[in-house]
Amino acid sequence: MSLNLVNVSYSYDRVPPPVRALDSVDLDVGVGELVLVLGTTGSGKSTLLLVASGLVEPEHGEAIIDGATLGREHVGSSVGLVFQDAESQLFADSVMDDVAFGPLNLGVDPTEASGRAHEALSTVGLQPDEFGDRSPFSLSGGEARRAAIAGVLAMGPRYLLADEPTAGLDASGRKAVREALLRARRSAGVVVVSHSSDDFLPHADKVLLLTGGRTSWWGPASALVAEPSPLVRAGLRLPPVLSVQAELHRRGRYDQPFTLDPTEAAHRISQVMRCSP
Amino acid sequence: MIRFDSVSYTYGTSSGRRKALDDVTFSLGPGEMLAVVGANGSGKSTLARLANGLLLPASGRVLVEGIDTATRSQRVRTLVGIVFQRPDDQIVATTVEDDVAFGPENLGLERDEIRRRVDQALAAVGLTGLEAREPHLLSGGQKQRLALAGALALAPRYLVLDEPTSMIDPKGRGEVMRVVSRLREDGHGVMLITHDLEEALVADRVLVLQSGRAVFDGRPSEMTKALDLDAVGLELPSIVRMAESLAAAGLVVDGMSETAVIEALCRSTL
Ligand SMILES: Nc1ncnc2c1ncn2[C@@H]1O[C@H](COP(=O)(O)OP(=O)(O)OP(=O)(O)O)[C@@H](O)[C@H]1O
Ligand SMILES: [Mg+2]
Repeated sequence: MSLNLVNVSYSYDRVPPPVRALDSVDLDVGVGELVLVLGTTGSGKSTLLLVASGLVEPEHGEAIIDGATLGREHVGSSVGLVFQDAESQLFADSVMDDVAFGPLNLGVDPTEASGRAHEALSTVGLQPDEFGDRSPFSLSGGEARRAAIAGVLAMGPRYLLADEPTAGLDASGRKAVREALLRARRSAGVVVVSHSSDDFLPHADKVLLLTGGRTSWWGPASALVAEPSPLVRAGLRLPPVLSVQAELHRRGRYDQPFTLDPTEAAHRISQVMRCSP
Repeated sequence: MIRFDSVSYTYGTSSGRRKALDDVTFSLGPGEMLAVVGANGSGKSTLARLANGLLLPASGRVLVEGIDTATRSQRVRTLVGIVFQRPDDQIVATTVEDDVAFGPENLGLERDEIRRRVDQALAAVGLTGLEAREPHLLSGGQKQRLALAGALALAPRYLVLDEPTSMIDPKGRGEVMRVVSRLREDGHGVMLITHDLEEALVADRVLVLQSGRAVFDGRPSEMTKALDLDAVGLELPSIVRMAESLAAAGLVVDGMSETAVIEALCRSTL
């Protein structure tokens, strides 16, 4: 089972000049996989998620879910999307109603829907007792983002797409959301757009790198860590731990495989440094 | 100077009252950069809205160049610019350039001056070339840059930035941080709210909020020693953790930046 974009292009042309946000992009995410989408501000990442969610139809190319054409009917039931502006997804009178709305709407019975909502809220670090009765519009920025993520988790979609899910979250929130998405991967295909390389690059299965709406790199995350120059060419900053290793390598001082783990990187570096004359 | 004097603030809601700030005292001077950090819900955005009089204290006082914000003086809004956490809250016009021009037009400035300010602000945030775009069709990070440009064009003496880079890629963040540094050099006072310790570490001072209380106000280098970072929603950047592991392995690294680590390592093998 997989969610696929094949040769997809998309332009925003509501007002001139038209902007080509996606240009012949392919995406392949299977259930059990996490794909990380990287690219500079404005490189087409959010548009890619809109098309992959079924909310927006590709202008050219195809969007396919488990072999069928992806359409609006899949939104929510099969594909869940956490928007970049996640707060705009909240609408109900209480946080609890907001999170339970999705499952209820899918025909889940009320007791189970409420159970799922409780669980999803706890997962993102919002205690149901404390936050359940509050108006979603009275939440702080980070609290609102967590609530929006809980709403999508509670639906248990087969494909889960999240646009900058850790932006604006504190350290424990980032950890909670990262772990929730990794847990979701066991039974879902997950696509994450994130600038925060520490959060997802170490856990991603594949990476799609976008530059000006085009695919500039696509492959296993481990291959990108081993040879990270495509990130630099795409105008991105290397994760600092990687950047140190790359620079030492460039200066002929480091010949170990690159790693994102700060402790392991320090270990490898200290070994090489000791051996040198 | 912006002064908070024992400021408390409570939100009244249908489900009860919620104390968001509790007896907070600090100040921000011209030419100073103050980072404000703390967990989600710790009161940072509330503090921002109090700084320019959008909210008024329940108790205590906020003074901007000596003017009490409770007087609702228009002067306070002119002195203190604010960039909100959600850029959508700030977009008013249908093109990028009109959006940036909106503030200066309201100030009644000359056309040429408005033009100059708009061009300068867009250049500063790297949006030159997108003047005719519709703001709602910009990416999240571009909207954040636009919101910052709008605030810059008003040339306020103090600038309050509420997580201005949360949706911008790390390289773009560096660019925004350079804009912030330049503001500080030009004598503006900057309050930067952030969850990114790397950004907080370059500030002159850090104010740490925990459940509405100020639990630390001092130099960034002292903060990492004085506080349980975990308890205030922060974590050490991976590069700092790497530097610590290197130190543990006997490779001395002084400094927490990428370049400091590289230079120290290259020196150590010479
Ligand atoms: N309009 C509101 N009505 C009621 N309570 C609110 C409102 N806005 C914020 N709060 C509450 O006040 C407290 C402080 O919120 P604030 O927005 O200042 O936090 P913050 O530090 O900016 O958090 P974040 O990092 O998530 O942006 C939180 O408990 C929040 O839930
Ligand atoms: Mg906030």
